Amino acid sequence: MKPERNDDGAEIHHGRFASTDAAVQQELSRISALSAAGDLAEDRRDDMLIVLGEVLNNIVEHAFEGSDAGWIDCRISRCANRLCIMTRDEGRPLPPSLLTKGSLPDFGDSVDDLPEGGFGWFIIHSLVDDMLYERTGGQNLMSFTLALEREGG
Amino acid sequence: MQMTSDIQGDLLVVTPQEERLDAAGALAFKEQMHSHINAHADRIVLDLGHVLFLDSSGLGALVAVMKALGGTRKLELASCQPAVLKVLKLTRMDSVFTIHATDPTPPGMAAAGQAAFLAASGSK
Repeated sequence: MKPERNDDGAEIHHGRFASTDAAVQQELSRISALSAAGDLAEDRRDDMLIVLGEVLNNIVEHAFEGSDAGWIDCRISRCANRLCIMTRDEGRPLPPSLLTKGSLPDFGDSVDDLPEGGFGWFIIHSLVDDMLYERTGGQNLMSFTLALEREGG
Repeated sequence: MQMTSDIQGDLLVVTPQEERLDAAGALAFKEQMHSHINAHADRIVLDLGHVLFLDSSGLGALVAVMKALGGTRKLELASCQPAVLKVLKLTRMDSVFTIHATDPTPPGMAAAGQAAFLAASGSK
């Protein structure tokens, strides 16, 4: 099932912030504090924050690298038994490779070969139930959902 | 990035005083850890008791620190919080670091040192 881009669900959070590492960090701390006060199961809350962190970092890194900072818009809502998260930005198109199922980078044979990056999309795809990317009207739209309760506990 | 450090016997315990080890702080974290590595020849334990979230950039920084230890020393992580442990396990990097489930301070250390370590790692 693809996540629907609608506003029917109960909105939990809506924020717009600068597309910089520092502003993203601040926003994630705010969402973390907000969601801690709610009734979300702790492990799903962690999953949401982990995924959101990776998604927002990728937007900062790929959509705005080498250009002036713009804004990122982020909405979190609860629709039926899912958390629906949508981000929007006016940066450059995201590379399509980001949408393919991420795999873990090669660990190599020794400590010196260990990867220092390439974990982000693997983490995202491991934790979300679905992920939709659209480029429309000069904007990147990303939508993804997580079940409120993980099946099988 | 706010970090404190404490020498306990031959252990250097470094404790980031931040809730996130992420893209915004990864570079500063690496730089500070490099100076600790240069100044301390023995075991280094990173007490992550205050760190609630680790992202892929923070994870990359941990790997960079591990490499800077030169292959003879492993980076030791202590007091990993649930979301941090989740990222380490998901990426299978929990096999790369030494992860202490409990206080790694050697037995027989001065009681004051133990208390300081527990105080540094105990808060959530």
